[in-house]
Amino acid sequence: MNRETASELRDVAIVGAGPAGLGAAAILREHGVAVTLIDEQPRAGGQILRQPPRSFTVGRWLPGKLYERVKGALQAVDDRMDVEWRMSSSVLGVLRPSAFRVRAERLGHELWIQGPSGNYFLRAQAVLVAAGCYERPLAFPGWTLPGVMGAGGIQAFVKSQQLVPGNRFVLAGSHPLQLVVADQLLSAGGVVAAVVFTQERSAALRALAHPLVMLGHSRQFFETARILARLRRARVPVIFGASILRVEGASAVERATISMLRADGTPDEQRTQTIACDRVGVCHGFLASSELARQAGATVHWRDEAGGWLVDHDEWFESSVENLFVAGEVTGVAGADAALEKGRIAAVGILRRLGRIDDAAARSLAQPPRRRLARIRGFARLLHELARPPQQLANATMTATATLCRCESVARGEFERQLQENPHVASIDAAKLLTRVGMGMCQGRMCGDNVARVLAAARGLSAADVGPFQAQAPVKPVLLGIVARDRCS
Amino acid sequence: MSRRITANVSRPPAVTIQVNGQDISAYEGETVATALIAAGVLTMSRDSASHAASGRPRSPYCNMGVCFDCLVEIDDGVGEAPLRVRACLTPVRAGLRVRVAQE
Amino acid sequence: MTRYDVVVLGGGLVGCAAAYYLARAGARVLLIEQADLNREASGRNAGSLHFQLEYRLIRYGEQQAAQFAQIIPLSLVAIRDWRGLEAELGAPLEMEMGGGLIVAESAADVALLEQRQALQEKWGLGSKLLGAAEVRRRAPYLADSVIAAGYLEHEGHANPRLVAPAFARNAAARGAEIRCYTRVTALERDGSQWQVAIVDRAGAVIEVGARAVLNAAGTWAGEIAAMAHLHLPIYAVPLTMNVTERAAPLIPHLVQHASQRLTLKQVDAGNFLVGGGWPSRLARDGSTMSLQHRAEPVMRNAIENLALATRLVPALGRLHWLRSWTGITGVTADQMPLLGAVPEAPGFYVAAGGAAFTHGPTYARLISELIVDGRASTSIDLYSPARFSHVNNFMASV
Repeated sequence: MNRETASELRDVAIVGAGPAGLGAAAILREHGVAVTLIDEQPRAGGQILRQPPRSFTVGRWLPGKLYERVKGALQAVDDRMDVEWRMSSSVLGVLRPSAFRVRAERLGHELWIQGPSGNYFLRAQAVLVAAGCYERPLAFPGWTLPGVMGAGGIQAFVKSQQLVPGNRFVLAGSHPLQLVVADQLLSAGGVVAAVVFTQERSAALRALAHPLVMLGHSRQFFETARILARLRRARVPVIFGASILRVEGASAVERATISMLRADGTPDEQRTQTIACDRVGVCHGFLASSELARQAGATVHWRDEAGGWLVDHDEWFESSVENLFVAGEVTGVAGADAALEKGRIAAVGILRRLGRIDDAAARSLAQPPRRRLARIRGFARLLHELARPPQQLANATMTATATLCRCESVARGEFERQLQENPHVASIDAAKLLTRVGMGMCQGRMCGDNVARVLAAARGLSAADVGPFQAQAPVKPVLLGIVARDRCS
Repeated sequence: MSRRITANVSRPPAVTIQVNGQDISAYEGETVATALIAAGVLTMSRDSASHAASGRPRSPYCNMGVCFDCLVEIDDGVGEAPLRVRACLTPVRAGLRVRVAQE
Repeated sequence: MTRYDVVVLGGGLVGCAAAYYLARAGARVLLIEQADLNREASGRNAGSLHFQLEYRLIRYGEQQAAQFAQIIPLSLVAIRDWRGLEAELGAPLEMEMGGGLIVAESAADVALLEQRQALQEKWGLGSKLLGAAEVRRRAPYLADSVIAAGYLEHEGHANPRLVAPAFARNAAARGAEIRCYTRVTALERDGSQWQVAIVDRAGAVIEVGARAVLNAAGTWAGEIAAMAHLHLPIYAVPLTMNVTERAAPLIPHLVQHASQRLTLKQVDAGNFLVGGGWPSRLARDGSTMSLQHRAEPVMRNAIENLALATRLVPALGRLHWLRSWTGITGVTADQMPLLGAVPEAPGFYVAAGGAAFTHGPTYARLISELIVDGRASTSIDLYSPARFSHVNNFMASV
């Protein structure tokens, strides 16, 4: 696909065709700015709107009110011929095409891309990183068994692939997403053996009844209430104040053991129950996918409840790297509606930066999305508080034998033993070098959060002190045969 | 068992792909991970820390290209050599040959 | 003021190893590291144990190559040191001495191999030249383009992740004090003592005294020397390293190229490490190159490096390139290490520069002997900083 034309300078390249990227693309196109949209998925929509394959026709796709606003944003951009689509493509790095500042401004940023046609470079005056987020994994004995998935991973099978990827599901976690997944599984004819929430029932209901939700976000409230009613009718046990403790099976999931939680958030091993199932979906919130922006040199800050390491930005969503903008969950996980508004503001920021509009016009153009974002943010904060897993939980379910790093199969106990023997190791990169955690194919995305917790606890530091793994290009593994083949492009 | 949703969904005509030499039926456009799970094949790779055959079985965790536990070998009969790719991001095409880790 | 026999500056391989050898000899040692142990070149290099003359030493003509060949006696000592190191430290270092191949693909490459072999024979290294059939027999993984190779059975690799930390643990067990996230802010000689001001992470300033100061700061050795009002001609060189995913055992050797920048090996875990001296770009601070900010990778260089590796070992094409990183190493003005006492500053020692992974443990052992006993068991005169006395002569006070 157009590898030959990749070398000319684009106006704006957007990494991520989810709500933030789509929101930005629509505004940029309205102002005549050329847009290149790049995403790893074959179709636009992001994780929230993982579309079915083009070869499928799905009637009544994602009917719920939850998706209304982002579906509108998708329809405004999807199938547009005046957008350069580079789908099924991974951005491996954001590079500076020249060491000379003056020349670099003329050359823009250079994206290193692995796409269906191979490996190539593409330049753009401005880049918007809207790379979204991925699920924050909870480590526990058995979490590497086939059949244990992120709840969002299960959901993607249902909503995009139109597949019920198992028979009997247990969903466990702290995030309301699992209610939506349970509901979609039921509607598709799946069996949900239990939905397990870490929160106490009273806390969950209190949060839902919060005036902010009742008045400003009644959509979410009523949707939640409807789902709970449907689960009740289907006799799905919804268990509050409990957590997954371990999963067992010979070569795949056969049963899950859940445990009631004590007041301090740790599992009470005296009060457990084991549930037969073949799939377990885990849902403890999300981690911002800030690797690409970090690799590009953007500075970050730590906010545990909003997705870990978040990219710093100014009021126009420009990062600390000139002409590198960020939007959506990489600036703080707050859901699809917020991501959409952030993308719109970033687009206005890009128009302003490229000199397409003046400052006054930018301010007036950005006002409506800023106002909407402010309203959504309050709700997002409430959701963070509601969905925040108990402080001690990640630490308690991750026993000494539980796998900490899936790629390198490093158990927590082994990691801690090495920390004990090497008392001078106090940063996550030093711990990686010592123990191999984070050295595998996922490049530390799956273990980074848990490694930081264990390391910080061992050293009496906070996760913010030990840092994120250094993000290095390529930020996704890439096949050497293709790199070697295409090196001249 | 996993199963495809059929109500309100129309798919293109079924095609055949090979998984470790066995024919399975699949639909163009769906992901290889979907085709495998629908055919009851859950294990796709082994934990790579033990590249020997004794490695423990792995199956997709994230289903969005992050965890790399769904790495399979595919041969589309066009490229020079089989490629190792993420099954969750690779679309099915007729005649695809897929190799997964044996359970 | 706490007094030590030796303050070691730099927590890389040389510093950690020197702390160990000094402590083993009974010295009271303090090691100061500005960040984490083993964080820079010591932990980020390719882990090659290469004793044949590297391409960088052979590419500038016969006369220079003959001069660089004087490093070989030290290499012979280093081979012995490495063979005993896992036992000495009681720790696995993932050391693999499966032999080293320097491969040739053209007549010009073969000529370079022959020149190298002549020098190596002169100094008694014990390497040999292999013809195409013998290369194929020993290394069936190589592409058909390889027509000859220089071979040394003692070459191989160890894991840079493990070596410096093992020295540090053993040093600490023998009483060496190690302080990370601590910087030196002043160095001053007061009669026969050195006064060293250090500041820790929290900003607390401490002054300590030492009979000797060992500058083992690698790339930073010049900055440390400047604190003692000395010049050391050592330059920061940012080199890119690349690693693939794990694979089943394929390559037992260290593989280099006769005329191109390449080192290639498969580590214990199964990953392939690919490097060979391809640069990243140092950060800039105004008009100077800065070591305070991360160096920027130049991916086109890394791609060339990996394309070369994949051309020589086609099986790599099936593997994923996992990540790249930069190690900033120090290269001296004449490519030889700086190893010995600075004559203009009594009690100020240096061990930096050169191939400081392959030779690092040996540098550390010999400099420790020089500090403790007054002489090293193998002569290191050739590498003495005294060869730059024509500069430091102007820098020294009474």
